[in-house]
Amino acid sequence: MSTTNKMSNGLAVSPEKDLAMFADMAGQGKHLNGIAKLGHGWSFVDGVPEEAVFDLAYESNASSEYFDIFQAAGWELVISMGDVHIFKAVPGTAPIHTNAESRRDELTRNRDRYLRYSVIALIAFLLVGLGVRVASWNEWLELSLLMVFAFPVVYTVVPLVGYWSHLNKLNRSS
Amino acid sequence: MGRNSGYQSGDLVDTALHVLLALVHPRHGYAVMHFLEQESEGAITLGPASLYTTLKKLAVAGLIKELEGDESRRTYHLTAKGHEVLVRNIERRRQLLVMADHIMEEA
Repeated sequence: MSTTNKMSNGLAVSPEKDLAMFADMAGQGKHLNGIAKLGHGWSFVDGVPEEAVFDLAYESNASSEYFDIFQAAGWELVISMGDVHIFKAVPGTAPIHTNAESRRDELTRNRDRYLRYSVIALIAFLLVGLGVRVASWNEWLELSLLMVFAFPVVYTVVPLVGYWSHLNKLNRSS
Repeated sequence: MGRNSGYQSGDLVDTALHVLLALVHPRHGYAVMHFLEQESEGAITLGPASLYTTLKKLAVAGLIKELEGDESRRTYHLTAKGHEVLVRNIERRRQLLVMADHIMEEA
């Protein structure tokens, strides 16, 4: 059974693009079965082509009752990664979110969480930057330290901007 | 005031009112969706994420309670406070309909 990997568009930034890609791949008989490319992509396993729609929900304390409710509504769990749960259903199934409130709650929780992460990552980066300015270390060590501490900034600020922007759009439309 | 303050003040949005109505009799969470869809003849559709969020908020506000039972198939029922809030919300909407009828008759 062969697998295919594809790059993600970023679930926090463009979830709709990834969800459309999952549906398109399922139609070609390639079914989402996990993450790939060090968390920057998705892996798909070959199977029978199927028409399906995909959606995602965020829940950190997902109980068996949570998944029972989704299953009863026609949404089958495909994969869970931490508090992110990706589901599929036959086209025409009622959406996962039928009011703005549950979607807004998810986005607000994610925005607040990534705001905390971003502040911590930025403070750490600024402290390292200050240390590099004050101390006179080896040039390569200074550059390496700055690069290592820049990664968490990118990986927390980009999702933060994504969740915040989606939340603002939702608040404007409802 | 936050957007969720209605659960504490008792001034409920439609989704919360629908779920409270379904829990006049004890029901499993997932049964709430099917009950509302059947009773409304398809007019009310509740997505699973929206239902789960609403159940959690109603429980935190003390308007519904979990009955003893299987962890995976929790049964919920209206509390006395939930019943009071439900009656008040129905009455508020009834008054709104009377007002709407009156305005439309005069138009």
